[in-house]
Order: sequence, then C-alpha cells, then structure tokens
Amino acid sequence: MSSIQYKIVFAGPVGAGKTRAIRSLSDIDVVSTEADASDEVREIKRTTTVAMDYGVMRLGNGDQVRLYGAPGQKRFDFMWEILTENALGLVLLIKASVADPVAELREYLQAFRPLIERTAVVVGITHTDECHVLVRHLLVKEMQRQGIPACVMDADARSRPDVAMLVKTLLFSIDPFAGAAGPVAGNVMAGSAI
Amino acid sequence: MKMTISLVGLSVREDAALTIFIGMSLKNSTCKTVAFRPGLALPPADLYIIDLAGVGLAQWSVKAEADLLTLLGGSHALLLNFPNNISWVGKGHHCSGRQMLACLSKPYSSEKMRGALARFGAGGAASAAVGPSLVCVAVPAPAFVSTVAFAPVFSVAPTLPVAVARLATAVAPPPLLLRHSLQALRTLFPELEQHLLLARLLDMVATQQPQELRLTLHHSIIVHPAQGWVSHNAAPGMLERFAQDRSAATMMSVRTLDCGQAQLRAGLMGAPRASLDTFLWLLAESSIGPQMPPVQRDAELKLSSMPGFTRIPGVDNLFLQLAAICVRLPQTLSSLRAVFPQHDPGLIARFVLLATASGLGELRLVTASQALNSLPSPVPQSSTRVSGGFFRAMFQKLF
Repeated sequence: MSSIQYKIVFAGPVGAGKTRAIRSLSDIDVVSTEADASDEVREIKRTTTVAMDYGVMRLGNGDQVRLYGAPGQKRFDFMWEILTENALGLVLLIKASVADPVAELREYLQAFRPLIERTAVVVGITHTDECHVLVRHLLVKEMQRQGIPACVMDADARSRPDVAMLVKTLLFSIDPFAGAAGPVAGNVMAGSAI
Repeated sequence: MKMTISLVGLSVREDAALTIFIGMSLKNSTCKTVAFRPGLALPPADLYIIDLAGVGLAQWSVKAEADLLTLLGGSHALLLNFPNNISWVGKGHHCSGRQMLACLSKPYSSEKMRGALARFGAGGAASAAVGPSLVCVAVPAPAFVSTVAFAPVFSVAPTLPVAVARLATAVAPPPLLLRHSLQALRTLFPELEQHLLLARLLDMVATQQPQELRLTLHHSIIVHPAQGWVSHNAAPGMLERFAQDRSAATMMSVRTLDCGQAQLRAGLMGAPRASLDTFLWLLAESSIGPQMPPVQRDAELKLSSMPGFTRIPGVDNLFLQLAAICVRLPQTLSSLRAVFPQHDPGLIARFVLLATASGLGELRLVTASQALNSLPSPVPQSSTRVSGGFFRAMFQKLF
C-alpha cells in the first residue's frame, strides 16, 4: 500500500518556537533528517538546514505528515509560498512578549492568506506570562475583525500536548464534520470515524 | 533557451533559499552558486544576483562602481542592497548600453524578487529598445522594499496585495456572554441557578463591567469582561467548595469597579490574571460535575472564538469538533445531535452549556421549525484532499 504524505506548515516570527514545536511532534530529528524524502524536499534536501525546519510524523496507517517550519525572517518570505503549496493548513505561532503581537499576527495572516482561505489556521501564543491574557484577547479580536475563525490558544512550544492540541484543532478546523453523519456525508472526511 | 543565473556573495541561507525559489519560479533556468573571493573572474551567466555587501561593495564609490562593472563584464545583474542604503542611488553611469542592472533592497518579498527576475527574463528586448541611455532613476520605496534602478532602467514591480478581502469584514467583536445568551442558557438549563457561584459570576460578566466578587473577607474574584481576564486569590479547593456549596456561596457580595480599580485590586491581591473564558469554562465544569444537565428547549449556538483548549484538561475530541463547527456557523443543539448520532446527546448539551457559560458562545432559543431549517451546512471544501483513514491515524498519533 503506498503511503500518502501530507504537509502542515508552522510559521511565525523568529523565536516564536517553530523549531521546538516541530521537534515536539516529529518522529525524526528536526532539520538533520535522513528521511527518504519523496516530494519537493528531495530536490532541496541539501538546503533544508538553512531554508526551513523539517520534521515528519509517521502515522499508523503508513501515511506521513511533513512538518515544515517556515523561516521567520521576512527576507525569506518567498519560502513561505513554496512551503504552503498543497499544505493541509497553518499553525501560526506568535510570541506574546513582542512589542506588538497584533501587528505580527496581521502581517502573517496577510502573508499566508491564500493558504488560510484554502484551508485553516490555528494560532498558538507562545512565551506567555501574565500579559498573555490581554494578548489572546487582542489576537482573537483581530482575527474576528478579519473574518477568520478565531482559533487562538496559549501554547508552550516545548509541550507535546500543547502542540498536539494546536494540530488537532487545525485538523478539525480543516474539516469540522470529520466522521460526522448526516447532511455532510459527501465531505472529504466522511466515514473516517474518530 | 535555458537561462543561467549565478548567485554571488550571498549568505549560505539566502543562497539556499534563492536557489529553491528560482528553481520553482523559473523552470527554464539553471541556478549556480559562486563562492566569491577578490579577483575572481565570474563564470559566464545570463544574470548575476549579487549581494553588494557580500562582494565588498556595500557603499558606492567611483572605485566600487568600476569594480562592480569589471566583475560583471557587461552582463546583467540584480544587486541586493542593504536596507536604506542610498549610496548606490542614481549611480551606474558607466555601465554598457545593453547592460541591465537593478538594485533590490533587503528584505525583499517574493513578489519583488519574482518581478525583478521576470523583467530580466525579458531584458534583451527591453534593453535594445531603450538603448545605451544612462539616466538613473530612484523609485520610491514601498514597504519593506526599496528599489533603485539604473538605465536601461526598470523598476521592480510593486508588491501585489496578497490578501483577498473576501473574509475581511470590519466587525466589532462580540463581548463575552451577552445578556440574551445568559437568559437563553438559564432557560435551557434551569438547574444552573442552583450553582450560586457560577450564576453570580455569569451575571457579573453579562454586565460587561469590571467587578469584584468578594467570597470572604480576604478572598475575591475580580473580573474584567471587556478585557477578558479574571484574577482571584482563592485556592482551587475554595473555589470548588463555593461552586458546589450553596451555603458558602450565600455569603458573597459584589461591587462594580472601574478599569483602573480592577487592575489595582488585582495587583493588590498579588494574583495573576488569567483568561476569563477558560476560568468560567472550568468553573462551570466543576459546578455541574459529571452530570449531564437535562435540556428543556432547543437553542442555537455560535462561538465567537475557539475556547482555550490547551489550558482545559481532558477535553473530549467531540468538544474540539463541535467548537470547530460552531466557531464557523451557528448550530442548533438538535442539528448537532443529528450530525453526531453516535455521541451521547447529553455530551453535546454539556458542550453547549460550557461554551455559553465561558462567555464565548452566543446562545439563542429556537423553535422546532427554526431548528429544522438550521441543519449544518457543508463547510467550504478544502482544495487539499485527504484520505479516509488519515484523520483516524493522525489522532491516534497525537493522543
């Protein structure tokens, strides 16, 4: 049975915790991978260490989920477009401790808008302390203002349960009716009981 | 004909990224990296992309310009420049007539780079048409990218707006727990009134005013609904006791604060501020315990945002799924039960209760005929298709 490969993109500013988040889920060592790449990673493999973070989740059914960390520096934003091609969705990590997290969110939502409109986005707020309460509130408001379903949660990028919850929320956001019966039986996920 | 592009003087990271970008953007091109060293004669190429700082020419001077033109040997080049470095603006007077040079300031966007490369791709015709004129032009700098062009000059196309405004509607976010939602919640779950602490807090939140709920002489809960935070100095055990003990809860008193007072009181208590919606969700959970409250009516729920599930222990997968649905489209209790017949209807009712009590849900009572008309609509189908077993395997992996 041939395996199917999926792609989830982690984005966010430098230091938001993308590498750690991918590391917390990946079944391989992030970046220094020797996995048998079979998509575009193969042709760019020699450059993965400098151009992106890369991890893989191997699923029980043989499928693989490739986890890509988009470079945070804006001068590499052209990588974002490449990485988001055919991606399942976007996990966006925003640091609560930066001067203007709403501006950061706005910028990334704009940059990844085509992907978000095609699929979904979940925002994880990292580096939280007491001020994070207001940050989450503000980020939710900004997403509501932009008409994007506001999926915003605190997350410790080092915590597998936190990152897994973000990814799980993303998956349900991509297809909220996964496994559901009834009027949406024709949806892409129909029949995949959870 | 295949176009050869040489990257000169770029950092390893930028070189790698550009190699990928060019490989994917210009299929009809070959990209080579040239390790620069002084005195190097560049291998032939149709276009050089040169980091001016990387080849030691960050600042313009007569000698720097001469060195650059010597290095290029009459070939076209896209020069990558430091941000805000204007020393090369208006320079390049000595380039040959058919030679095209353009300068792109860092950090550049993919649109800018793509636009620049496209212009070079059509450069032969453009340069022939323009001729050897050496007029220098400075193009006003848009956000993040400033462009300086030499003659025969082109300016790199301005950034195209990436965002599609389809979803961007300026709407004010709904406040936490609207009063009509609270009324609907109480109609739907009359037993909620028996939980005095929760009932009192929900009343407070529905006013949208900062308030203090005094539990004892020394223990308070401060809520600021408009800013979405709560602060309290009660131990979890005390809150649990108040949540479940009517007699304890009868001692409580409430006072309204202004924003400054609320912050001051929270500061004086020395208690951290926490997300109000998560606090209310957990308190509601603690108040009603494991029981499934009987539901009196049907109602429609719309979530203003996803609950903070990373901070709510033991969240059922179904809750995640229901939240993902209701954050997009309003759904009635009956329609959700119809869509998820394999799940306990009480669990779905519990979700509606907790989501509304958290303040994130807007709840509205509906009649039977309204409920029939509100069966869930399919969500926009993703262009990314997944196999049938993917979700199951993914969730097994994640949990």
